[in-house]
Amino acid sequence: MSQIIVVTSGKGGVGKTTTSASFGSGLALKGHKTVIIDFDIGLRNLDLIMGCERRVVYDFVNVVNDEANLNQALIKDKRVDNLFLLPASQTRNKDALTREGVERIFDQLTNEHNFDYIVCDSPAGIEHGALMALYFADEAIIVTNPEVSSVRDSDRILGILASQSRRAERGEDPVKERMLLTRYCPTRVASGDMLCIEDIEEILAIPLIGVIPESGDVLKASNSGSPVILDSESNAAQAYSDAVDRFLGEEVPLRFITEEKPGLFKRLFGGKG
Amino acid sequence: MKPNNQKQDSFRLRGSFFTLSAMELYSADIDSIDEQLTKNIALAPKFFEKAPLVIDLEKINGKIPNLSTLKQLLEKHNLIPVAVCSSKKAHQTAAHKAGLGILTANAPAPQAETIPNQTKETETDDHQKEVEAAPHYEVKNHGLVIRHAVRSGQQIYARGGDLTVLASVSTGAEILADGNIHIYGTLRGRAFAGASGDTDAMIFCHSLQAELVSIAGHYQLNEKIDSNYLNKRTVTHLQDERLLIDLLD
Repeated sequence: MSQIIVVTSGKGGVGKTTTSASFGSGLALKGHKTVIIDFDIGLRNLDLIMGCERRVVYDFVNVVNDEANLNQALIKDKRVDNLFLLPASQTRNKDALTREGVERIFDQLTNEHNFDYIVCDSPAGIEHGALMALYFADEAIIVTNPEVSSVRDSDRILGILASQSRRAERGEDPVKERMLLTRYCPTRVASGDMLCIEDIEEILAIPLIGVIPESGDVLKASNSGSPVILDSESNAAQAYSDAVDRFLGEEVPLRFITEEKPGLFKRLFGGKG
Repeated sequence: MKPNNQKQDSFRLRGSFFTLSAMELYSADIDSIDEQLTKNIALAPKFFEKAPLVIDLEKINGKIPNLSTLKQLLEKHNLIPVAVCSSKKAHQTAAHKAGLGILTANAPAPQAETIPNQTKETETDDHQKEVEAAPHYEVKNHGLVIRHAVRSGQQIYARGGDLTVLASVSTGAEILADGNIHIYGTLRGRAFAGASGDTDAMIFCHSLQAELVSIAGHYQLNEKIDSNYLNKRTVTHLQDERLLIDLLD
């Protein structure tokens, strides 16, 4: 039975797609057969970040509309075994997705393709596309930035998960909710510009699955079409790797959450930080 | 119980008591009423939506506003004016002209029906004595218990009773109860106790960080709450039409 994971946030620009790409890759690197689905119909980005935009022939909406079958639309990742991508359509809008269509695809991914994990990259907002991405979820990764508006929107999406997911509608066990803090900048937390981990945990009251430090490597990786988790030198990659381990039940201490003391050289001559 | 159906009646008239919101007018100035309405309704739009309302003219000095104009104004705000409350003949005539019902003076609150004692027959005599010795409290309603966090954008209304939340209420969430509100977590959102006008209702919480607390329509915004009470275990109650907050520790 596949586990359906939704990566969501309410707010835009917090790192959902980056997280979906890295998290999905991380699960596949651990040997789990994983597919990442881009639910952001009309604003397709995941294929860019995964570096396979030139290989998209058929997309999610084509499969929903029976214009193509899953085998034609699934793109196998060239770097990571066990990893597949189902791209969004760029020419349609979010209404093109129907519950019946999405459910049929999930059934096929589970029963015919035997995926272990289905990672759903949700669009921003709380409208049709986002609701569709979270409806079938078993697990939710709430991507949050350490600032008040992002935390508020995460809180809103948690309310929606608790009331509008399939599990909620059927009165089953609730969607398992976990939070991933991204773009965390210990220096700015120390100076009071950003919310600290404890404050956010208190407000959202759900388990923390990882803290990804703010890092230039994320943008670099996105632009080069390679999930940041594959850049094993990078702090962000290591933090994503830890988050995947925690997701799979391992106990891993948090890293990169305290301010790095600048060295003597940097203190004398300054630096970009 | 079966109803008495001697004949097939199409309705039955019966005396009923309802709690209605009353708008106690102090001014005849339609514009300032409009302004204040806009502000008050913005605080809890859902609560006021299509709410039936009595226009109370007992406390107004001198001139009253044109009731037809006032009625239109209220309807514009999505309220439903149903009656005017006044003992003055002139007011009643004006109400009649505007097509509004007339209520006279605030009659004393009706005695609630006593709920029959439902102690089990198997209870021992000792037990019964204890029960008899204890002061008699009337339990109106068991209320509604919410076990999960109330998140931003969610609204919960315990109609006709108390609301108990065993977790926190987030900023942007709204909880309403006709009775008391108990929060065993942090109150960050808006809480309306005595939402249908019960001035004895109270709000209890383990940490007060509310955007707004309101009892029977008397409200206080976060910025007006004395900082001594913020982040504390508190009870908010109403005394002489003033909202008071006490520490529970």
